[in-house]
Parts: sequence; C-alpha cells; structure tokens
Amino acid sequence: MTGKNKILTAVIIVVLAISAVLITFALRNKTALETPSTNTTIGMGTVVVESFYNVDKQVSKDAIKESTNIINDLDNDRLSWRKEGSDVWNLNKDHSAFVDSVTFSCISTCFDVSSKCDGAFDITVGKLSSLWNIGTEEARVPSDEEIDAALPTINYKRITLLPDNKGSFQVETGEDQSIDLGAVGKGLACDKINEYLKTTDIYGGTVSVGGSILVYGKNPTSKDNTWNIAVRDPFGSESDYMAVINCEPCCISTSGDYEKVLEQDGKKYHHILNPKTGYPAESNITGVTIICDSGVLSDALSTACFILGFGEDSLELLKEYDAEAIFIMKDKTVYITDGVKDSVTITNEDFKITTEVAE
Amino acid sequence: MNLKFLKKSDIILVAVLLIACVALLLPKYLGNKDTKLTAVIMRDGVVLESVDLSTVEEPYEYDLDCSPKAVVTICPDCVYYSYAECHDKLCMNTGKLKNAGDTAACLPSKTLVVLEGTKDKNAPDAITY
Repeated sequence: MTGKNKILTAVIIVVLAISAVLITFALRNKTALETPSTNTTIGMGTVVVESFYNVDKQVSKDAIKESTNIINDLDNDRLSWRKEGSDVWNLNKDHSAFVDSVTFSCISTCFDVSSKCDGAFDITVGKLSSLWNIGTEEARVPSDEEIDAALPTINYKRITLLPDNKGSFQVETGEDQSIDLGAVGKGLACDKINEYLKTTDIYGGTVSVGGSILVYGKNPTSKDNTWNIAVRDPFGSESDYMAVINCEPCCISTSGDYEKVLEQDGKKYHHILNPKTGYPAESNITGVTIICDSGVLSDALSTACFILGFGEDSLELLKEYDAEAIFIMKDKTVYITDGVKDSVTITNEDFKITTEVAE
Repeated sequence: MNLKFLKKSDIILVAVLLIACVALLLPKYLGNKDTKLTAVIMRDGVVLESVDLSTVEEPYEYDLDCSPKAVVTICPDCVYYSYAECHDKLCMNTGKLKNAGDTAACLPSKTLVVLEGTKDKNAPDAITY
C-alpha cells in the first residue's frame, strides 16, 4: 500500500465516521422537532389544549405557559362579565367605560358583524344570556315574561365606540343593556396567542380554546407542512369527527346545538340564543364550522351563521369577510363553500355533500 | 486491505462512535412501537395523579376530592368519569377515554382527565366543536 492510498483510506474512514455522527444528530433533531409539547388545562370556563412543535422543548414549554397566561388574563381582566373589575364587568355596571384596546377592537369587530347580518349576532344579549345561564350550574329555562323583558335591551346599534387620538378607548351602551362577549372570547384568545407566537421561535402548533382552533406556523410531521383539523360529528360523541380540513395557518370555529345543553322537562335547550326570539336558535343546521384568518371573526361568524341557518344570507355574510364554511344540516347533508371544497374530506360516510343552496 | 497505518485505538474510536450513533437513534425506533398510555388527573391545574395504565390490573375508583364531587374509574385500557354530582353530567357523558389525546373535563369541579401518550400518526392535529 502506498502512502497516498493510506491517506485516502484514512480520509474515507474519518469522513464516514463524521457523516454517521452528523446523520445521527440530524435524525435526533428531526425526532425532537416532530414530537410536540402538549398541555391540556381549563381556561375561560372550557378545555384548553396547547400543542407546539420546536426542537428546543424549553421554547415549547415557555409558549405553553405564556399562552395559558394570555387566556387567563383575557378572561379575568377583559372579557368575563362575572369577574369584578374586568372591562365587560365595568361596562355592564356603568354603561360607559374606558377599556383596553384589545376589548375595544373586539367589540368593534362584533359591531361590524352585527351590522352585516342585521343583528342575528349581537353582543348586547347579556341580559338574555344571564337569564338562561346555560353552561353553568344555575342554568334554567326562563319564563316568557322574563324573556319579553330582556328582548328590548338587545340592540347592538346602541353601542357607541369612542376612540380618541391619545390612545384611550371608551365604550358606551344603553342604560338597560348588558354586553356578553362569550361568543367571541375564545377566538380573541386565539388571536392574542397568534400575535404572541410570532414573537417566539415556535415552529408550528395548534391551540384549541373550547373548540375554537388557532392553527399556527408549519406542521413538521406532514410532508407539505399543512395541518389536519377534524370537525366534530354533531350526532356522535365528543371524540367522533365527520370531516377533516387540510389547512395552512388560520382560525377555525364551530357553533353547534350539541354543546352546553340544558335539559328540562324532557326538552333540550342549547346555548346559542337567538337575539330576536330570546330562545335557543333553531334552523336547518345542527352545526357550522368557519375557517378564516381571525379568531374573533371565525367565532362571531359561526354564531351568526348558526342563528341565520344555511342559505343565501349566511353565504353573503361569509363573502363580506372572505371566510369559508362547512354547514352540517340536520338531515346529515353537508355544504362546503368553494374556497375549502378541495381541502375538506368527509370521513364519515353517513354525511353526504350537497351543492344546493336552500331558500 | 492493509490497515496497519491505523492504530488500534483509532479503530476502537470509530467503533465506539458508530455504537454511540446506533444507541442514540435506538429510542426513536423502539419508542414508536411504544403505545404507553398515561392517565393524568388534574384539579385546578394541579396534577393529582398520573397512572401508567399498563400497571393497572383491576379497575379501581379514584375520588377527585372536589366540589361538586366527582369520581374517576381507572382501568387497564381506559379511564372515565364514573360519578359526578354536577348538573349536566357532561364529564360522564364523554364516555371512556381510550386513545392518546382523549380528554374529559368536569368544568364545575375544575377537574380534568387526559390520556397521554404518542398519538396515532393519522390522528388529526386538533378537533373543532
């Protein structure tokens, strides 16, 4: 063996060894990236699931901690009408209050949605929702008299938004009115967490605040980095789903008549109240899922579309906001809007796709 | 091939490196076959109990010591709320948790049961409801 050959062989062996080490660490890093850090907890009166992907688990753990804080702070300081000192509590007590910019923009978005669906969605339902109290231990069916007394207090047009150029945000409502941001609180939490995640190194993840989903960043476990979000089967149990949405970062919310149900005298009452009738909304659908780029919007639109039911009115409303939707009819037919038609897979064959728009 | 120019210690070093590589990667491939399920029971955000279901031989009840009262039953292959004094009994209606990621909550008592483990590859990332 010549000296040249010796050197060559030595180089090859060294290169092989180094490659083996590098490949090993690359594979380990890939495994680390593909293993999410997940946390399940209770927040905003509902189940919260945070799941983040990052090679450095400490980064994911920090993001879980901070996301949980964001949810709890929003609930305690801004949104809850039960918690003394929150923006909504102050507003309902004095009917005029200086609120945080977050609360202000949330109320302003809700106002906008209300104006585009002729009040089918209305955050001034506070008096009505506290009568029913569905989802709490005090839930009950109010008397017709009580409902009749609450109905005239509902009218989003009596909300006045007064921003000034010094960075303070004032909101006024009618003296008899009461605000309830329960329909959009979960979506707002998704939006705030989305903003926060952009300041971190998180590769990707999902946050579910009581079924309102934030889809963030890239999915390291799929080939094209997209995500698969399941839509609950309204006729099945809690973990059953009937469709899967393949998507990129977005916000997804669902409103359905199977969530938070009150049973009294053999009759079932769900929690989405129609501001016009004072009773749980009844329409041709059992659930509707909205996909768009804001959590407050997806929450507000899912409530609005659930109350409107499936038809031209909801489709027009969705167009105003470039939002997509999956409507699940009571007869198990499903209407999927054009923008997501190709990304939704029906996984339960009991459900049939329809392309007809009802009257 | 004549490897005399390589000292014995060099060969040992390379061998050790390769063995170390295999050892470092082994858990990844062994880990995938691992379907260990752990029932994590929480109250007010604090973990009360964490049970590896493979260690459970007979189903037994676990009192969450909360108000309203709630009891969880832990089985070799599942965990579920078997008793609750709350109004709507949503936690009991959730049924048995059998797959990694399944969750049942009793909001009035601020308790939560999560079945932790490696999720099935085809399982969706989240569920909207």
